[in-house]
Amino acid sequence: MTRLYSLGLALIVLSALGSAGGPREEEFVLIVNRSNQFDSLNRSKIGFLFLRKVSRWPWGAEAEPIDMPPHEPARRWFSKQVLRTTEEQVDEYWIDQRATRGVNPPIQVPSAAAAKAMVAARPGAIAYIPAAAVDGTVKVLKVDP
Amino acid sequence: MSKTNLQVAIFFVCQSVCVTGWLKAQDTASGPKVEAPPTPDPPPAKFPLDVAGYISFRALNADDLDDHHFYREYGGSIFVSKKIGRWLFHSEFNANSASEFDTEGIHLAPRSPNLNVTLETASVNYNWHDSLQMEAGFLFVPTYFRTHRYQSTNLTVDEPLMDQYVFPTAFKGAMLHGDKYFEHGGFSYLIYGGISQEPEIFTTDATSLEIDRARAIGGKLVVHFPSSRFFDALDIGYHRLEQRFDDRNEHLDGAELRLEKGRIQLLGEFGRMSAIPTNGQARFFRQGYYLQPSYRIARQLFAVGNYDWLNRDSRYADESGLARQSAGLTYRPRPSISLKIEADRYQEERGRAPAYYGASLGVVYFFHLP
Repeated sequence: MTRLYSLGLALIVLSALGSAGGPREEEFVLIVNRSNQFDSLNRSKIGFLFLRKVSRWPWGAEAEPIDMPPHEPARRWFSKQVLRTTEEQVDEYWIDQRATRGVNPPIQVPSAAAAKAMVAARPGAIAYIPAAAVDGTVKVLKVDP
Repeated sequence: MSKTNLQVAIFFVCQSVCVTGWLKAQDTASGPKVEAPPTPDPPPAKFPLDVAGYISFRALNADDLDDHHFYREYGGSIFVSKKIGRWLFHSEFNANSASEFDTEGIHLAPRSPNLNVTLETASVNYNWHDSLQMEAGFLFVPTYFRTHRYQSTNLTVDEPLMDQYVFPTAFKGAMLHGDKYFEHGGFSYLIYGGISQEPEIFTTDATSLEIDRARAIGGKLVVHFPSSRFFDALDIGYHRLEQRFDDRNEHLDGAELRLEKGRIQLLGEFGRMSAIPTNGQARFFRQGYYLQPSYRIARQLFAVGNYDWLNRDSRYADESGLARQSAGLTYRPRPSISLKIEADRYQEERGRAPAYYGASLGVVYFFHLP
């Protein structure tokens, strides 16, 4: 019986160690130009900006959403957590928009570094990158529910 | 100057303005530049115009092959757009092999039995604000299906019966429109006027529809309900249009519904036209509706149903009623590719004639230039 308890205890300790030391889910954040007047924005308004239903920020700067390449973890996170949809549904939306309104999807950049550089250079830009890639050249935009 | 020459002239003026605007933008771009931080991986060079399009094949087969319910159609559309500051130029060209059913567009080449090449829309939009924009040119009458009727977008092979038969298809003129979104929900509006065009039903030759033109003024309001607790989207719209023909006035009312909840979508439209002849003849009406529920069975597979009903002309009520029920599957291995198959049941003459059945197939590929 004591042997069984010991084995159980060992399994609990091992599983706790495993979960603490295992790979953690990467965290992502939304970034905007440092001149952007917002510190936070609700999820649906961020969706309107990325889906180009809203083309300008309230102070007049043209909204320039920036996307990561398909299937990137950051893009999956953004589609699921912020847009609350899937990449396929977003692609279907853009097929419709190109035909019906002549409106194109956001600019796509190949890396978080490129997204960050573009946001730093353009007053109306907004992008999503891994939290670890954030530096002082851009501002983190908090997502309100 | 003939009407066709005038249309071609308007088209070339639109295109000239577009090209001139683009050249002007290039000049501006070569002026004084603001130093920007270096971008590590600049996006690849883009074609100066945004070009997208799709090619499609449709085959519709039904029991009454003698009538016009059987055809194959090879078709394609090209969308050309250019955004310069607050200006957006957009045009759509279409070619298809079943011209007898096509009543839209300005014909760019003489109509032939096997090929129809048209300019479907050509417009320029100026955006003062998202809630105040002006668009002018050759435009679709903004019913839901007319503006989202593309094979690359739709889940069904065939258009709803009421499309083209209640509201006119297109108009030359101008439109004030805008969208206003709040924290949740919002609304969109359109106010438009110009010369509308629609097919003239019940001509002597049923396979060759005449185009009827009228002075038109209309408006539409769509409310995007703040429904995130219950639905992913709930849009309800009302559309009103007044038309003045040489021999009659027409009042049109339309309603539309788009509802999304998870994997489920429901589209619906209703339209009714009431005609008041000015030559002493009796009043008449046209009306129709459709309901189109769909379910996303898997990431790439959709099931879609459609219930359609149309009364093309109340003066010939016994022979102009047509109902259709469809059930189909759409497989999208990629969002740009659609493979569609559906079974249809048609019921004419208010159920007095025997129902007949058909099957439809569609293959679509959407593309765009980088």
